[in-house]
Amino acid sequence: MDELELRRQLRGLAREREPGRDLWAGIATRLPARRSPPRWPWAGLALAASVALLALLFRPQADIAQLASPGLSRMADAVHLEYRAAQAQLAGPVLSAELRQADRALQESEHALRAALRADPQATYLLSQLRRTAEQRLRIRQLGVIG
Amino acid sequence: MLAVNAPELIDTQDAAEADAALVRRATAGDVGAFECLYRRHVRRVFAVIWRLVGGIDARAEELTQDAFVRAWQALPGFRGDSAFSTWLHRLAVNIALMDLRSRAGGVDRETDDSALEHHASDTAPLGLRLDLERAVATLPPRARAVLVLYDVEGWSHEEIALELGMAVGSSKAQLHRARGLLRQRLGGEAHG
Repeated sequence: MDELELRRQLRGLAREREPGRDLWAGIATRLPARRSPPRWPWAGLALAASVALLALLFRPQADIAQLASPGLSRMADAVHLEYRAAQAQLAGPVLSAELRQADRALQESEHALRAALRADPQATYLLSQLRRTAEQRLRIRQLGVIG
Repeated sequence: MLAVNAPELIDTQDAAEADAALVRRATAGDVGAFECLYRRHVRRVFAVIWRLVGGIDARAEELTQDAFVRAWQALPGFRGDSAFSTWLHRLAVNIALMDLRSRAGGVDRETDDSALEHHASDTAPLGLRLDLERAVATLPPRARAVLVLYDVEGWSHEEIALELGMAVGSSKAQLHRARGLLRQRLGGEAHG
């Protein structure tokens, strides 16, 4: 048999073969259940921030003086500065379009939360949300660095 | 010509679309959809694994099961850049090659061409009437893997080299030797 004939015969071997038994039962018992984590774990935070923004928008009597009140908003500024400092250490990663979009959404949430804090300086829950939002933005930057 | 090929083309497209729909459901956790994928592809997966492991039925069956379990786990990461059948086939080949590597005397013991020299000296006609499948199964594992992937499955040397972690030149040398061994063994059959 010459080489061409051998190659022709090899190419002609059956590409399909039936196993001697049904293998499905042995597969089905080994399949782990799916857990479906939310595609956007920060979506809940963004929603909460949006709610806070709405609350702010629907407070027409918000006192300008109160908006300028130091209280928690000073701590909010500290959170913002912390985020900026940490971000600077991540050497400006190039984010994918998907991550950029998420980062923009979080940034808007951050602005809304800070504005809400200025309007209601006693709302400590807003500060913790702001901190979580900043952490999520940092995580996005880290994902960008990892690629 | 187009008229002749068109039904086949449509079948292929239909199959790919059906796979894509099943993949979406299986990714969401639908085991029934995954069973459909299994039924559609098991013969193809089993065939390539069976050849790579040298025609050992029990091992091929076990590895086929491993391949489908692994596919279930990896499915959420499948982005559809290639057809599901291609992706699954690659995964199955990888499972079989990992098994060969893990076995004593397996692929990793034949990391260069000198190993083939050893096998080349063992090329006396078998004296038995071997068919082509059985002759392929008697090849040393690494040479068999290259031959199956190149001559049967139609992979390129670059793809094989990448998958087997060898140089492209080594893949070509392994293929040349594997064909030589086969021809000798099949020639023996003709005179046996």
